[in-house]
Amino acid sequence: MRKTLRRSWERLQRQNQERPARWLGTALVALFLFLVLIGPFLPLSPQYRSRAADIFLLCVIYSIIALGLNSVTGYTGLLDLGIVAFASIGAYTATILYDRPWMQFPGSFLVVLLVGGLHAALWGLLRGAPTLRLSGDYYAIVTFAFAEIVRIFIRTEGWLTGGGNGFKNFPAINLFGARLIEGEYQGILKTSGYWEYPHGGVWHGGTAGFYYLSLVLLILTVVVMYRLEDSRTGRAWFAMKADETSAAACGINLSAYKLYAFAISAFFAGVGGALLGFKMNVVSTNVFDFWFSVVVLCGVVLGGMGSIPGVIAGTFIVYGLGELLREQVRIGGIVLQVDDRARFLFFGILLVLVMVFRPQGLFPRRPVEESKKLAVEYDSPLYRLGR
Amino acid sequence: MSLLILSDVHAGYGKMEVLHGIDLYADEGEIVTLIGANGAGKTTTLNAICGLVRITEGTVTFRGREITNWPTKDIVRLGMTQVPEGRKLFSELTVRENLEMGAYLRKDREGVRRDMEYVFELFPRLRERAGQLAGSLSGGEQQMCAIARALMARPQLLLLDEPSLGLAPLLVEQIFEILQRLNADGTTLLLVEQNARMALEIADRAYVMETGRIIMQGPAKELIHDPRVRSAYLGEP
Ligand SMILES: Nc1ncnc2c1ncn2[C@@H]1O[C@H](COP(=O)(O)OP(=O)(O)OP(=O)(O)O)[C@@H](O)[C@H]1O
Ligand SMILES: [Mg+2]
Repeated sequence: MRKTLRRSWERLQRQNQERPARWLGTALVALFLFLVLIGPFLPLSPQYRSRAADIFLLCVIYSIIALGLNSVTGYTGLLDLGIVAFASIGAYTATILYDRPWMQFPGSFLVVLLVGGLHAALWGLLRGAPTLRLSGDYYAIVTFAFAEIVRIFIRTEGWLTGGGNGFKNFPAINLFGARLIEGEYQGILKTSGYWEYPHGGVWHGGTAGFYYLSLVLLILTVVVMYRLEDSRTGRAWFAMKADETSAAACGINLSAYKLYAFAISAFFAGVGGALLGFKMNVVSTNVFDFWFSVVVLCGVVLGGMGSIPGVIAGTFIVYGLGELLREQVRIGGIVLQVDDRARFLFFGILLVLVMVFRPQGLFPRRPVEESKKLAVEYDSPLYRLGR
Repeated sequence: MSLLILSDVHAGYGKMEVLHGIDLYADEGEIVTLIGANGAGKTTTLNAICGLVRITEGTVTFRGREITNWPTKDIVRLGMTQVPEGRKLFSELTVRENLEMGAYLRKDREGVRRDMEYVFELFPRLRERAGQLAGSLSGGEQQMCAIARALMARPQLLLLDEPSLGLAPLLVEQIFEILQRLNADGTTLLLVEQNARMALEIADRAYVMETGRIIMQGPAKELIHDPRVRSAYLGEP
């Protein structure tokens, strides 16, 4: 990790020397990180503060899911159209478990998140094992079909999952005594559609504690992803993505590494889905539907498949924009608002623009031009051969 | 005993049989070439040898062990690597990383470091491009990188599928010189080529393949003068 950081810092400095305008980019990234860090405490009026924190939190949680998706679609190159399956398995598992009387102990919230993720990972393996030989469209169809199976199971097995209504209004959530989510909304619903809360940094029943827990989990996810990318496993994934024959000819066990990617992907999607369920205070197939997968994928493609900063940026753009488009704009006496379904139109336009002008995504993992310009040698993680 | 022996190998895709009983061998230190028209089954033969295409009948023996339908990774571990048709580099990895992937199964760091030097010596161009993404190399550089990557596994037997494909004549010469040097350094080569003349010039023995069968075989120096080979594969009257 230290090495990775040092390397990116050196690269950054080199680039900045070449093109001073880069400092602007660096400053923007720093500003963005700072805003995310103080998410619940932005200096805004209470109404906007809770709304902004809400949007940031949503983006943080979806980033975890998107990074999960990225470890299959970005690293192994298999198109996954059913990430929602794992998010909903995680969400339902965690919320069902958290309701049990024997789950009431100090760290239980973390336990249900973990179990939600592991349960999703199990299904990732179960879905992956029979599909190891599939690729391209065929694989995508299976992922889509599996997500539908999960959705239909949830809708029909009401005794376990609450059926079409799902679960709502979870009890208050504590972690080692700290309040993460208020049991019932204690705020006052304003006519504008916002909840206003008596104490600062609180929105939709979630506290700053929940925000920072989610942020820490995102950071952990990012660390894990960087470590994976820079390991034998990551190399094997990128090799398989480029060409399976060559990868096999290098002695890579294709099946094992694919299964590994499936499990990792489902795990993080499951943890993210569980967080999302608690955050929204509702777990239902109305939220976890096909479009869920599409929008997450949209963020990944937009930002740059396989690129960790890209995936996060893409997710923030897609969900940030998505939420902003819910806002009403008043010009004079006229109220403008985008129809809820029409928001997808904007994603479509955005995606088309990016595909035309930057087909590798906004922040690709390793831009080709750059690699040509900076044909530098560096320490290799496999054998540490450099220098 | 020969390093590699195929005896009566049948293989194909799904129900369609493509190889109808291939008999072939390669002795240690030899260059053996396999020539034939498009669609004769040369690529299929190489893939069947290294476990990428399922063999339905017959056996493959390598270093005295029967390896029929072994998982590819185990065959690689035993000392056989393929340079696949059409290069197929790992485009999102750098040249250096591609070479390291070739050494994926090796644990001897020192040996890997030495072999990396060795392939950089064989292909100085790759050293210049070590930090560049493989996807951004030119076709010739990619072919060098593909060969170099296979060498990093330090194979006893190297299977090459049309290494001269799409290269300028000068580069083809260069690649063939390198292949000869490799052979002199102790690697046995099984070379599939469209460029039959060059292949026959450097090979010890040759096989001619047609629709899934070996139709001719013998010392390369003899086949190069065979009238049938001359008219069918060397484009001479
Ligand atoms: N993946 C595949 N699925 C089905 N049939 C295939 C497949 N690959 C090759 N074939 C068929 O097998 C036969 C032999 O193909 P192969 O690729 O081995 O030929 P080749 O001798 O390598 O030809 P070339 O010189 O053009 O590379 C051809 O008829 C081809 O159509
Ligand atoms: Mg071929």
